[in-house]
Order: sequence, then structure tokens, then C-alpha cells
Amino acid sequence: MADFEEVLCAAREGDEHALGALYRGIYPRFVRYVGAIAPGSAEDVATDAWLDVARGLARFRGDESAFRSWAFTIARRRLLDLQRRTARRRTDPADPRDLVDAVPGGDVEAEALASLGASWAIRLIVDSLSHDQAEVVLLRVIGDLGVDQVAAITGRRPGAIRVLQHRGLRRLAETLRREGVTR
Amino acid sequence: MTGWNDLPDEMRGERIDAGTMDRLLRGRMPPEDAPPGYSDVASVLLAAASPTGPEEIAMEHQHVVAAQALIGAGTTGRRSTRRFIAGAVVAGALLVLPGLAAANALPDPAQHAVSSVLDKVGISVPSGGEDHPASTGADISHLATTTDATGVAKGAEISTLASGGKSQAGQHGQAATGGAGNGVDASAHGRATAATASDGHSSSGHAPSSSGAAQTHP
Repeated sequence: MADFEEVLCAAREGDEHALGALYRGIYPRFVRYVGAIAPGSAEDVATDAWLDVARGLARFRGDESAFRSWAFTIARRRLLDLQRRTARRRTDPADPRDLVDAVPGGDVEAEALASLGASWAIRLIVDSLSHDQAEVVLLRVIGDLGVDQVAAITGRRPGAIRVLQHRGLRRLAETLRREGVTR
Repeated sequence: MTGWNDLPDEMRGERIDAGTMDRLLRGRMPPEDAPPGYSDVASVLLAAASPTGPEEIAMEHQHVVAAQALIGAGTTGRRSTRRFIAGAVVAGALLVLPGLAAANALPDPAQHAVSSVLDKVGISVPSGGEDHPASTGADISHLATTTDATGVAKGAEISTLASGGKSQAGQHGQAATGGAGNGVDASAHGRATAATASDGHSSSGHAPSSSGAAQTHP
């Protein structure tokens, strides 16, 4: 994003183009991230998070990377709110991964790998990894966030994030190998 | 769970260094550069971090309008509060105002201010200006914090209020929400919706996200 500070200042004044630039930088990431965990509510949660971001622009201080980190903190909080509301309505605990459709297998998977799309890749990550591993990997990949930022967002120590991401990638590699998808 | 000894030879003993891990997890490592056994992982992560498609920002216009309304509500709301306080002091000093207010004989802003003050002490007088559109910063701010609507519907309510009821984002936003069940692809329905809701002025469905792409692949 060209001169993030200028864009941010203009966005705080309500400039349409600046807000659009910020929107394009984070909203699609919100939808991908939330959609991986709560697909049926992805756009609603992402929209709420975007409006929270807009409301909080005046008090945000930092660079583009810090902005993404701050924005994802908001999005994750919105996601947790949704999960709490959902849990209150249910009597049985729900694994967010149950909400995700099964990843196609066999030849379908091989075909999909040939034309990988973001949606398919994200579903594969969610379906292959534990909830904690998937969350860390998705925040890093979709949010374009560093270890320390993901640690701050999730309330874990950076060392724990490194362990989770390392195990997550190894597990993903094992899953892909087991499914017979090789290069 | 697969044990360490079940790993293929190419992965056994392989410890990915921090730099490689970072490139992998930011979706910036081509499969051919990936460590042994991780080329498919690199493909998956590359795809997950792929640049934004136009369908993912189809609601940009409505969402930006809603954001503008909230930002405007924040600044004008504070100004309105200051004006209201000043007006209340003056109104309290001038005993004649309640009588005029009771007769609904004051200009709308003064009528509204006096009505608000008197309302707090249990005296009801006309507030005036009922024919004005409810699109002040304070109204928008109030709606944003009190509406039961969430997500797309909330954004649509705000943008509709901000546009004085001219925006059709509410109807279209609601319709769009209904099909949002499959994550990233869920917003594919939105391009035509955005164009319709913005009376054809929206370009969001046609312009790929340069900023998103730049962030993902600098």
C-alpha cells in the first residue's frame, strides 16, 4: 500500500479512496480467516469487524503491519463473540472444524491441487490440522502476520506459536503425502 | 497420530529453519524452492495467501459508505454534543424559552435543544424538525451502537441511514448474506449486487485489489 501513513490519515477523515484501500487490504482477509472457522457467518463477522476498524481508526497508531495485527485482533474478538453466542445456543460443544465441508478426496483432490484456489487450500488446512494449529497457520498466512503478532493476538507465547506452526506444517505435509498427492 | 518414525525418509530429520518457515507461512515460497517433502505444503500456503479476487470485495462500496458514516458520526457527534451543552446553558438562562418551546414556536434546532432539556426534567414539549431525515452524526452513531442487526445487515442499515434512505444496500446486503455459507467463494454473488446497489457507480467488482495483492506478494 503506497504510503500507508497518508492513506491512514485520509481514511480517518472519511476519504472514500483511502477507506477503500484499507478495506481491500483487510476485509477479504477477514472473510477468508473467519470463513475458515465459521463459514456460515464469514461475511457478517467480517463486516462487523470492518465497521469496528472504521470506528477505531482515530485511535490507531502504527504502521501497515501493526494495522493488520490490530485489525485481526478485532476480527478474532468478533469471531470469539460469535462462537460464544453459538455455544450458548447449543447444549453440546461444537468443534468449529465440523462447520467446514469435508475436503474432497481421491481424484477430485488431485484435480483441485492442480488448480489450487484460496478457498480449497484454506479448507484443507482447517481439515488437516488441530484447531490451534490451524488458527496459527491461518493467521500467519492470511493475515500476513509475524510470530510475535500472532502470539499477541492469540494470547500465547511466541515459542508456543513456533511449535504450533512447525507441527502444523509437518502434519499438513503428512496429510498431503498420505493422500497420494505428490510432486 | 503419525509417529516420527512413520515420516518418509525425505522429511525425517528435516528441521525447517526460521527463514524458510517464515517464507512458507507468508505464502511466498514457490513449491520448487521448498524443503524436501514440503513442496505440496508450499503450494497450499501459496494458494491460501493468493491475491484477492474481485468477488471478495464486491460489497466495497456499501461497506465504505457505512464506514464513512461511522467516521462522520464520530466527529459530528462530538461537535453536536458541544453545541447541545452550550444551547442547554442558554436555554436555562432564558426563562422565556420554555414557553416558546411549549408553543412549538422556536426554530427547529432551538426547539429540539430545549425539548431535550425539558424532557430530562419530565416536561414534554414538541421537539420540532420531525420532517428532517434522521441522518445526523448522532443518529448514525446511535444506530451503530444500538441496532440488533449485525454484519452485512448492520452495514446496510448504516449506509441506508447515511444516504437518507436512498441507498438500497439494505435489501441487497441482506440477500447477499444468505449465500455466504461457503467461505471465500461465498461472496461471488456480490459483483452484480454491488453494481445494482450503487446504481451502477460501483467499480469494486472490476478492480482487483492492488493493495491486497501488494501486501500478499510484495
